[in-house]
Amino acid sequence: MSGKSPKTIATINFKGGVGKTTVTWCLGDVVSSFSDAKVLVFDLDAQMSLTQAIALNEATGALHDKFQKWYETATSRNKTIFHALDQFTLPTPHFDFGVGFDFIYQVTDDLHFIPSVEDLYWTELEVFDRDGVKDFIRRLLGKIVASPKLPQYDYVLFDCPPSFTLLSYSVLSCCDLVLIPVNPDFFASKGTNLILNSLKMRIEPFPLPKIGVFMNKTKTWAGRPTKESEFYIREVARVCEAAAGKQGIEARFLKSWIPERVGVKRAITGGGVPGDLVDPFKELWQEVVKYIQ
Amino acid sequence: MTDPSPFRTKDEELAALTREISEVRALLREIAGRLGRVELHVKRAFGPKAPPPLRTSAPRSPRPPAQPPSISPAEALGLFEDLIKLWRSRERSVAEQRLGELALPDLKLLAHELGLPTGSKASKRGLTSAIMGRVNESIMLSRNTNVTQPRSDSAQNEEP
Repeated sequence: MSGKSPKTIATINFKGGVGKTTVTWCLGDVVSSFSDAKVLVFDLDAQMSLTQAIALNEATGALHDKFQKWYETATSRNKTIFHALDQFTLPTPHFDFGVGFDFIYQVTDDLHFIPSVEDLYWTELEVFDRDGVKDFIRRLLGKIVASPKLPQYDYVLFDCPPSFTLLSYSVLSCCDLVLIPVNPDFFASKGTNLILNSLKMRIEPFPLPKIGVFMNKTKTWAGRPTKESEFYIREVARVCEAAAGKQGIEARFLKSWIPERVGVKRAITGGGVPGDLVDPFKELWQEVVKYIQ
Repeated sequence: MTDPSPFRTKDEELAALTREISEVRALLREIAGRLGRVELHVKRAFGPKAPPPLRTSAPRSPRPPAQPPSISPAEALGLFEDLIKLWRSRERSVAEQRLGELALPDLKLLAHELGLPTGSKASKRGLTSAIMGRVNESIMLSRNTNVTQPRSDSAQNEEP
C-alpha cells in the first residue's frame, strides 16, 4: 500500500428527495475547495443524478469542459463501476481491474469522481450472492489507495441510492460513517427510525459504522430554524437517542443544519456551493470529522 | 533552374497566422476560464457583496396579544413532553384533559413552539386538535416494527 486509508463516508436515506446527492457533492466541493484535502466522490446511484449533473456543467463552462468525452471513453473501454463489479464477481482468484484516471474523473485538482452507469439498475438481478459483493468496495478502495498513479485521498464520499442495494451493502460494511440527511417534515423524518432500527440487523455480522443524522433543507426565519423545523430537529434527535440505546449502535444527531435554499440545486451544475451555504457545509463537515476521529 | 524561395507564400503566411491566432484564442479562453474560477472562489470564500442598508422606516409593532400566556416557552415544551409520556402510557384522555385545562394564550404559545399556525381566530378546540396531532407525530416517528429477526438471533435459535 502506498499510503494511509482515507476516511469513508456514505450518504444514505431510503427516502428519496432528502438531498443525498446534493449534500454529498456540496461536502466534496467545500472540503476540496477550502482545505488541502483530496476528495474522491462515488456515484453509486443508478439514477445517475450526480453523474448527469456534472455532465451538465459543460453548458455552464463552470467546470472543465471535458467530462462527456471522458465518460464516453471510459464506458467504451469498460472502465466503469459496473465493469469493476462485473470483474469482481467473476469466479477468478484475482480482482483484475486497473484503476487510474481512465476510471476516475478529475473534476478539479483536489476533487475526483467515479461516475455511475445505468447498468447498475440491473445489478440486483444479475448478482444473487450478497456476501460475494460485500467486499467489492473495500477491495476497490484498496486498489485505489495502493495505486501509484493516483493521489492519496483524504476522504471518500459515496452517494448511495434511496434503497438498500448490493452496492449500499458493500459500502456500509466498510465505511467509517453513515451520514443520513433528513428534512423537517414527517415523512422524511420517519425514514430515520427505519434506518436506525434495521440497519444493524441487515449488515450483521459486520459491525455497523458510526451514524450521523443531520437536518437538511431546514426552513429558516431570520437566520434560525423555524419553530416547525425545531420540532422535527428535537424529534429526530429523540429517535437517534432512543435507537442508539435500544440497538446498541453509535448514532448521533449532529447539531449542524443546512438551510433550505433554492440555489443549492445549482451547486453541482453551476460551479459549486453558493456562497451563503459554504459556512453551513463547513460547520457540518467539522462536526463530521470530529465525530469520525 | 531557380531555387525555390525560402520564404513562405502569402497563403502559407495566412495559414501560419491563423494557426497562431487560434492558439492565442485557446490560451485566452483558458485564462478567462481560470479567472472565472478564481472570481467564483473569491465570492464563495468571502461571501457576497454587503447587503444594501436597511430602510429606515419605522418597524411595524406587532399587535399586542389580548392576554399574555401564563407559561414560558420552555414550560410549554416541558408540557409537550408530559403529553407524549401520557399518550405512550395510554392515558390519552388525561393528555387531552390537560390540554383542555389550558387557557387559550397558553395553547397558542404551545402551538407556536411546535411550529403550528396560530391565527388570530384560532379556537381552543382547533389548537388542541393540532397539538394532539404533533403528539401523534412524535409517537409515530419513534415507533418501529421489524417483523424479521436479526441474523444473529436466527443463528442462536438454530443452535442445538
